[in-house]
Amino acid sequence: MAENKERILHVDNLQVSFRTQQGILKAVRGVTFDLYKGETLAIVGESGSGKSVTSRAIMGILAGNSIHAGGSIYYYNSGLKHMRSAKVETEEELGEDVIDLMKIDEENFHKLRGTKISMIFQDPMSSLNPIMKVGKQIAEALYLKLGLTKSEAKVRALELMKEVGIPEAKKRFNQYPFQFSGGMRQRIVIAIALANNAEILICDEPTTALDVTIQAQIMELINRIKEERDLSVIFITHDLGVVANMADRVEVMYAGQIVEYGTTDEIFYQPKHPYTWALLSAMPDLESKEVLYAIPGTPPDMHFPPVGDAFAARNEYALQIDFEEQPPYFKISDTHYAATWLLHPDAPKVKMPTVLKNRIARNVKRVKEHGEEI
Amino acid sequence: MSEKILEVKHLNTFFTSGKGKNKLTVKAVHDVSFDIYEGEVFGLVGESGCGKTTTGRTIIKLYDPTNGEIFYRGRRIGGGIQTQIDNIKAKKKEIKVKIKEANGNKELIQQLKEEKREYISEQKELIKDIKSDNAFTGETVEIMRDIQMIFQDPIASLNPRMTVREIIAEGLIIQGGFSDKEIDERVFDILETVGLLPEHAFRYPHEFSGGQRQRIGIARALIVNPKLLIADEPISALDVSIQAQVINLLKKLKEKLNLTILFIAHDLSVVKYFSNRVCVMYYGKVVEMADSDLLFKHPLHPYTKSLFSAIPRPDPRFEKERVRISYNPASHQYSEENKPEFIEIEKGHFVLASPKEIEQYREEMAKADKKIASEQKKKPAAKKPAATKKKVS
Repeated sequence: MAENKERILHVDNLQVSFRTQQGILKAVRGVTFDLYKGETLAIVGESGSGKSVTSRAIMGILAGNSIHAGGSIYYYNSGLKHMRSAKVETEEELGEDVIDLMKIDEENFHKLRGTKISMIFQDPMSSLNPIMKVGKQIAEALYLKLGLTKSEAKVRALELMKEVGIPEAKKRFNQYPFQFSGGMRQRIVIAIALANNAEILICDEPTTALDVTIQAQIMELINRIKEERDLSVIFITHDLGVVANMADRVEVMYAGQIVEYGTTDEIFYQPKHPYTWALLSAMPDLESKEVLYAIPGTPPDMHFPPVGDAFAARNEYALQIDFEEQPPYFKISDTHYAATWLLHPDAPKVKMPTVLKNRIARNVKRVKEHGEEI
Repeated sequence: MSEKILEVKHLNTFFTSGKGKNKLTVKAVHDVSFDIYEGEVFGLVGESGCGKTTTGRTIIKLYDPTNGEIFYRGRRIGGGIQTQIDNIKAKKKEIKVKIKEANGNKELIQQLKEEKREYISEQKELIKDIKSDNAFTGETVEIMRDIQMIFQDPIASLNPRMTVREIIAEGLIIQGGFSDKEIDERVFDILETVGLLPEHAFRYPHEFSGGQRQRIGIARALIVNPKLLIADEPISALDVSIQAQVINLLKKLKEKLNLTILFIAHDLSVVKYFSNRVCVMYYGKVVEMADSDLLFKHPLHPYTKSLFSAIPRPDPRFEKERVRISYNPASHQYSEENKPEFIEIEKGHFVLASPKEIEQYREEMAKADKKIASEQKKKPAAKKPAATKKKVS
């Protein structure tokens, strides 16, 4: 899968810190991943694991107290060089039209934001302007960026509203955000994000504030639009059920690092990292009766990131070496890697929790009954 | 079956805005009835805006009910007076018509007026009764101490300017009769019960993580030894891993303190896991109510089915094939002859349906039972190959 797809984004050892009153907070500590054209990449983790910071770095909207501590975000074929008045140095060794998003200035970033990379936020109410008609908010994105006239922009905005599934678009065009329900508001936000035909759509927990039925609708909408427009989607969430629905590939983040990544099937049917196990078993499904597995303790204070494996303190499978040295990525398959010492050839053989094992076995069995292979 | 702890009878809570022509009534809770038995977890499910939170808040007297009654252990703790008001209005109209028909017969008019006066004073007596039950004085205060609530948003529901000790102790201080030392002891005790440390008592809410804040909210509710806990989406605002902690905590506390819990949520897998009985609400009405296993075995009402079909599961192959059923209220085609009623279709399983639909549902149930039975027959045969498959995967 990885070979025949066009790589669109390459995040290389990204490190982002924040200046706070307590000192330097290391939010992202060396994150490396690729994003290919037309795929959905899910980033999963608890709050404070750095998943939002990573996505905000890509979008170039980090808070003012952030420090770029190292690493790069390479964006391929941005076309920025061909844009008017752009003065961007391209990375020589990486190829023609490659730019580092961490290095370009705000003026140039302005040309990418919205037209190339778009973002949907968690709370649709606070990302819309409450005193501006929604139609105008969509049209604004069009005439500011694409230079359409206002009447052209209106026609296009109505089309967009229909595309994201808003009934009676003409009537709705002149309404204010408070007249919309949560799901409809999120559709408006999606319409704005798509207004300028962005290539990359970053969704930062777009369904967390919505209830299940509306969540399912929004997920279907994003999936449909992704297919139609061949978008690359970065989907950030802590809900593994949503991930299972949306993602092609999954990255599990903990304490500013990616602890496991692989295809969705690999993560859900053959998880290897104890943190992934914990996340999966913490979620009840319709069959579970046992006491839920709760991850003990809280995430580490990122002002003082722990030595060794960050998850060791909360991990019942932790080895002595976990407290001393950071584990490297161990290869499980071409697409599946996990950073845990348990995969080292010398490590004791540890089995995943029985609850999770049974659940996966149940799921795998059902899939096989349908005559599919995993 | 154990004793009824809470009875809700034909509860209505309406919100009105505007006056005259512009008057707008929102029927947030419309004719909701259910009983909660001692020691059970009663799940209330539905999409946002369906009135489940309003129901919880009406029970704990944050809102006044428009109509209907709420009983706690057989004693009325709240009620609406709309029926009485309507009765009086109707009576007045009726008498007016009768007086007109009396054609100046003074004796008859006098009699009618007397009748009206009597009826009105009777109804006013009832209203007075209900109002005195509604009022937060005397016995009601004692009773209401037995019902406590946990709120959805652990950030918004804790006062940022109060220390944890002040927040938790507030209930005791209002109750009165405790010395500072006793209060401290009980606060430290309860903090340990919910899995926090005594030294946390002197910190402020912003110093805690989301899960810890929800624990503070739980501690605040538990300090006055309630019997019935209303948990209004206590985990919706939390991370998955923290959700499990809070659910486990509630489960443990329920056993330890012998609590009854009204669990309001929209996450069906959690509701299924946690509750004994589940009640599904749609636009202010209860559409289906059953034991949780029963409900998940035969969901009957189309809205329940659509809710079930929307649950995301941590299983990618299942998710990719999932077909979401959407619910259209117009599909019922209710009419005057085909009116929906809340009917017990099997033991402990209630559904809102018209007579026609009941037949249809019965058929569906029989079909589902057959399917389950045939699957169970198959299972022993399928077991062996499944075991070898496990090794392969």
